Amino acid sequence: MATVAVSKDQSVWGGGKSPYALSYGKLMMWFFLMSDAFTFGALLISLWTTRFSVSSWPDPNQVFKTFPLMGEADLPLVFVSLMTFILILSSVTMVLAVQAGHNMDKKGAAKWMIFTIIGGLCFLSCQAWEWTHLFHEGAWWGRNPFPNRDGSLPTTAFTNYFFTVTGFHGFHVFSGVVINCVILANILGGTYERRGHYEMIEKVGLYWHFVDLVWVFVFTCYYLL
Amino acid sequence: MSEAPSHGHDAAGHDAGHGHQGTTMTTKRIWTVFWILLGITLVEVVWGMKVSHTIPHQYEWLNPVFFLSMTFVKAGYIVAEFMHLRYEVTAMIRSVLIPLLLFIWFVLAFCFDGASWLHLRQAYSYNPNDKQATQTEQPAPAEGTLK
Repeated sequence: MATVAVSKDQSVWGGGKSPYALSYGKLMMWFFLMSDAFTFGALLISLWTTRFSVSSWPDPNQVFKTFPLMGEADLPLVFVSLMTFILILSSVTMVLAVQAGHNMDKKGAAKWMIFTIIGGLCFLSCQAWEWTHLFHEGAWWGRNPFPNRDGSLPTTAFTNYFFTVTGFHGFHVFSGVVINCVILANILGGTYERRGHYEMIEKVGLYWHFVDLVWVFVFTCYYLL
Repeated sequence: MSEAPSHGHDAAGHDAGHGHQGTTMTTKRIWTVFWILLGITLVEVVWGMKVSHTIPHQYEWLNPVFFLSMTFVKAGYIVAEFMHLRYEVTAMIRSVLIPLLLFIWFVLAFCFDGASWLHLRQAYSYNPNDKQATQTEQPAPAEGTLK
């Protein structure tokens, strides 16, 4: 059946050029990110299966209400909003690095990549602080000190999923920071200038935005709902 | 689709990857998207702090509807603008988005599975924490002792 239908698309699918108008490397990055989307999707959906299977669940506003150096002040969601802000901002600096690369602007690309790395490190520091704080409150894999909304005894599923999902996401951020450092070294070393294009920034940029995208869903599933 | 797998990463495919996008994403547009994402996040946080816990019981379903729709708007902006997907060719956009439709089945099947477990627990569990256990049509075995 395909033989009849293709005449209009002959120019695209007839061979000799990329039908997706996309380089091999970027296409493979997209495919990897799709598989990663299903990995994160599986984690979050299993979280929701568990939440649907129990009658109550801890209230995020009671669990995530602290801020560094603010003592016992009741500030629900403020700290995690700061983390979200940092990650979105680092996505913007990454787009600006990609744009500088398009203009063959070595200095600009290096500058925005440095800002992106700083953003990633800030996010990881925030997460380290949050994990430490929760650990000192008695939360860890297998230990859950936070009562359910209705006052009933909680299950450890709450903390197990929290540390697993945010840990897996944090590991992605960490990998992204490492890859960004490699890219920065290549920019400064002139690798992409000699190559004639800065496409590697676009590939790592796709990965970085995906990490931001996952955080949007983690933020909703764990801190808002 | 029989001819589709024949393309390789040859010189032509490589050329297509860069140099043709040019002016699709301006600096102004980047910052516009940033302010939209930040604004949505702030609205979500304000709702989470001020509205979601005080909303009348019969309107509580608005919380997940609001948070999920805001989440998908944000996800859309990130994928379309930051990941540049809306500027790719139509075939590429479809190849990315259509497989993600599997999530519809994925989410529905597993959420119903969880709800079914809750039903079984409430109907047959002796756990005194499940106070609503007796509300189901199945009479709980330990109904007398639960009250």
